Amino acid sequence: MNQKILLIDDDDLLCEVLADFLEMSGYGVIRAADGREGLARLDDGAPFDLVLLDLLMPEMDGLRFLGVLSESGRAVPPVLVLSASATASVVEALDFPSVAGIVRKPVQPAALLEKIAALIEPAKG
Amino acid sequence: MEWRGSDVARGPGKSLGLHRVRIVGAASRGKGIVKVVEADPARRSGLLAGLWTALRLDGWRRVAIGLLPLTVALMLGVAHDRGWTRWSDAAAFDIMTLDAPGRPPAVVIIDSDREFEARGTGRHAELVQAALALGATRVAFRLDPGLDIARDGFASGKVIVARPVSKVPGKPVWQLTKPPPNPGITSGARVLAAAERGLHRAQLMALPGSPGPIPLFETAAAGREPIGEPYWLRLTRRQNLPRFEASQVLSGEAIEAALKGMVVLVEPPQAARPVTVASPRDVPGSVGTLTDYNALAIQTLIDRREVRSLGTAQSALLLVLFALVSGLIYLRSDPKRIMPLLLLASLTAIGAGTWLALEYAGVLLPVTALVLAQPLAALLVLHRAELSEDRNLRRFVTQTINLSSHQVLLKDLGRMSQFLAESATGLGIDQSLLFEVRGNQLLVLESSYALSDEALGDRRRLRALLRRARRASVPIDAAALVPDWPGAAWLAALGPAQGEVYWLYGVPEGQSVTRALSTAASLAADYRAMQQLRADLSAGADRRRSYRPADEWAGGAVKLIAGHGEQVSTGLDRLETAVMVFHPIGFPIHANAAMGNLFGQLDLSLTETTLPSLLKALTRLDQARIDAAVRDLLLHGGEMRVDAREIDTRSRQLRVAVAREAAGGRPLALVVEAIDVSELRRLAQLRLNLSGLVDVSIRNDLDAIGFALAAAGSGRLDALRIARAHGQIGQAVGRATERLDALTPHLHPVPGDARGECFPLDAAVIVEEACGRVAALARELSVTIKASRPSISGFTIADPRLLADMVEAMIRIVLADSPPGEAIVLDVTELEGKTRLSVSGGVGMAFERLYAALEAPADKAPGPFRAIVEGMAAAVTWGAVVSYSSRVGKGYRFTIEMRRIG
Repeated sequence: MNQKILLIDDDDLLCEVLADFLEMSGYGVIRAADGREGLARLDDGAPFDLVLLDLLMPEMDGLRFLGVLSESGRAVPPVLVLSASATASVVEALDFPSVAGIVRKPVQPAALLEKIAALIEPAKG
Repeated sequence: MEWRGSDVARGPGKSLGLHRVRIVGAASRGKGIVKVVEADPARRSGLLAGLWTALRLDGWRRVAIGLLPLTVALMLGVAHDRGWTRWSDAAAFDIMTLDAPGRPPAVVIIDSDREFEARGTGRHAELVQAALALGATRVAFRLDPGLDIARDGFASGKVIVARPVSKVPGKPVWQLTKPPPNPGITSGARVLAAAERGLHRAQLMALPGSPGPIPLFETAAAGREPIGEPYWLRLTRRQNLPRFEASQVLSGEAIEAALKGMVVLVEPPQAARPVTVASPRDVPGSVGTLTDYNALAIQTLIDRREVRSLGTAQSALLLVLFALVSGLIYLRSDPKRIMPLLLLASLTAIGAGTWLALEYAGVLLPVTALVLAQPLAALLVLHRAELSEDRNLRRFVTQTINLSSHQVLLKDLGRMSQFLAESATGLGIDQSLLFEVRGNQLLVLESSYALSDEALGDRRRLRALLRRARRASVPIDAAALVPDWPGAAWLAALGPAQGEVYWLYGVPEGQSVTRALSTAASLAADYRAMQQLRADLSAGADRRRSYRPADEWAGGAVKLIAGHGEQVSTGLDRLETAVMVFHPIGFPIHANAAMGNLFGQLDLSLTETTLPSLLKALTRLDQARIDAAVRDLLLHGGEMRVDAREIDTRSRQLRVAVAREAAGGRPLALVVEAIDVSELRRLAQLRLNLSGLVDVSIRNDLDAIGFALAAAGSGRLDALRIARAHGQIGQAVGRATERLDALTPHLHPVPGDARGECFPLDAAVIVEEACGRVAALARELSVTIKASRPSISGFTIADPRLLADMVEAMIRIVLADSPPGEAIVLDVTELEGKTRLSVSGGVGMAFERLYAALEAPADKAPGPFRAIVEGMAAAVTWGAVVSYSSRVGKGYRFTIEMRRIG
């Protein structure tokens, strides 16, 4: 069974490219356009093994998403943050238990897979 | 016995000196008749009450001006009363009467010629009978013919004889020295007219006698009643007086018409006519006969043209009225402008009034007093105006000096001492003793060294050194005074306070000792100049110094301040940056308006803040670094720049520099400039925003391209997905190009001050700025502002200034309409493609009212509504929409929706 990744990013094109690559790498990918939609996907009940989260998004940004997630007290899969502006203050703000790592943009496919693999095992074949 | 003239003496001296005793005549020196003249106080009090009512309207300053003419009038009234103006009054009388036209003669002078004298006994009686037969009304003998007319009985009052008079012993009355030879002969007292201005022209009507008054010879000859005041004769040159010889009358040569209705004045024979009197009718220096004078007097009395001086009370009243009119005119006008005109008008009025009074009322006004009253009053008014201007100048200069130095401490010795002591510490002068010597007392003002009076050595040596220090213009060596001090010790006299102030100081050996000493010497010189200025400013209360003209000390003060503050005179106030100038002693000389505002925000006092305390308040430097920096500036010059703390959301940089007389010269001033760099930072932030926007906008596209390329080359994608990746790359490139095109308008023009230009910005930062502006108001109203904003913001397109002004105005409106303890809500939400900013809360007003306020033209919009109206108009150009709603009891809601990128 494929490991399932929730990809939360408001950029459709980047989401599409990332999803294609991750799916070809053996992961199942569900997309959400912002934090609010990401919360809805999590609330749908489908278990996710990993959340790939962009920070800068309308409606509900990544930090607020993490905050709400943290306050909800639910079991949360590890979150890998995708950010182009991972300044010290942002990194400091990412002090949530669920945050498992930060991937700086531009994202290199190999590096991304390596990070994901360190957190979850992809399905074979 | 002849009358010697008149004199004026001080009377019993009741109220206001208006009661007086005037000696109008005397039979011998030291004896006289007194007459008491008293003014009517009731009439004057009524006038004064009127004047008082009029003057009160103009306040005390003008009252003083108005009362000056009154004072002059009273003084001149006294002078007139005392007779000090007789000479000039008589001169004026002569000018007006001497060349006046004469009257038809009423008196004929009959000379006692030789032929008449040779006729023997009874000739005078014959002369009387002949004259009366020819129609003469009266025959008057200036010398008594004695028994020559005694045997004939004449009708009463037809024959008048002048006779000597003498004082009745023990009584204030007079009597004829001999009784008349028969009852038909009338006797008249023979009295020489009193001299006025050296001329005999003031005559009496009668002398007091017993049982009744004794008419004077002229009075009796004129047939006038022996009553009335003394009078003056009009000694006009143009008065004809016919003369005949007595023998002509007796021989019938004199025609009847010549004597008909005339008074015949019989002149004594030549031998009996020694008496001459000085008269203005004659050539200067010559004299006229007494007979001429008698004739003129009789003619004057017959014509009822005698002139009387205005009484004392009337004179006083006239002068007071004159003063009241002058005073009121001065009150209602500018004295300096009206003075020449008033003088001219007064002289004209006095001339005309005197002539009219003389001609139609037979009264001589107090001409001298009236003529003098106006110039003297003018002089006093002018003098008072000058004094007032001098006082105003002094006050103005004092205020100017105080304002230019912000009332620092020109009058506060204690504060000056503190400043000097602080500056000394700044210079590294660790031994410093500031003391004042008052008589034998020594008072320590400031001391960084525990010294007692006794520690300064014996008194004689101390006094000698203090004396030397006072005479010297520079500090003197005082090492002998404090032998236990390390290094050199100096003593400087700092000028007068309540006593004399001295500064004893020492500098330890070190690298900068020479410069520190020279700087300390210049500080002492400045302090001395300041003390002198301070003493000058209080010179008004010090009579020993009050001789110094205001312009002189004001000039010195201005020179001092101007000399030490070139920046002050070159228009510090026009600078937009906040500037403050400190004297090297340490006290503030000047702060411009911008610095004044900054002080207000910091709750600092402009008059008490020293440079170190200012640096401490404005920067994050610690005391040690501040002291070191100030010392370095004083000793070595140059300038220092340091970031100031953020005040009122503004960023500033402090620049502290020393202004010197010349390169390496003594320091004149320390200049602190607080440069507002908020605008520079704001512009930098806008540029940063732009570059960030560019970065964010195309980074995702570049990321997508890069990731797609890398994924395609990773071998993990099948052919179909590789083809899709190629398509995605093409899309990303196209999208990036579109975004760059969309960014172009925001890259030009370069961000500046122009309102209406929109830029990519962080809306949350703008909201924070607006909140900062209204924080004080919220505290004052006890209303909380609850703000929510995104954790990470994208870019909102707006004019940062207009947006901040608009949000501030919205908050102010809601705050002002919120009860204490309530909260207003400020929310920033970023949505897909737009940012929504809302302000809500308060009690609310009827929507119609809010609509009327916000839809009015900007220049008619009330208070904070104006910023919203302007913002709403401009927001259209950003692609933003501003909406609002309000209901009483439900509150307000303002919403701004702006475009969002990235």
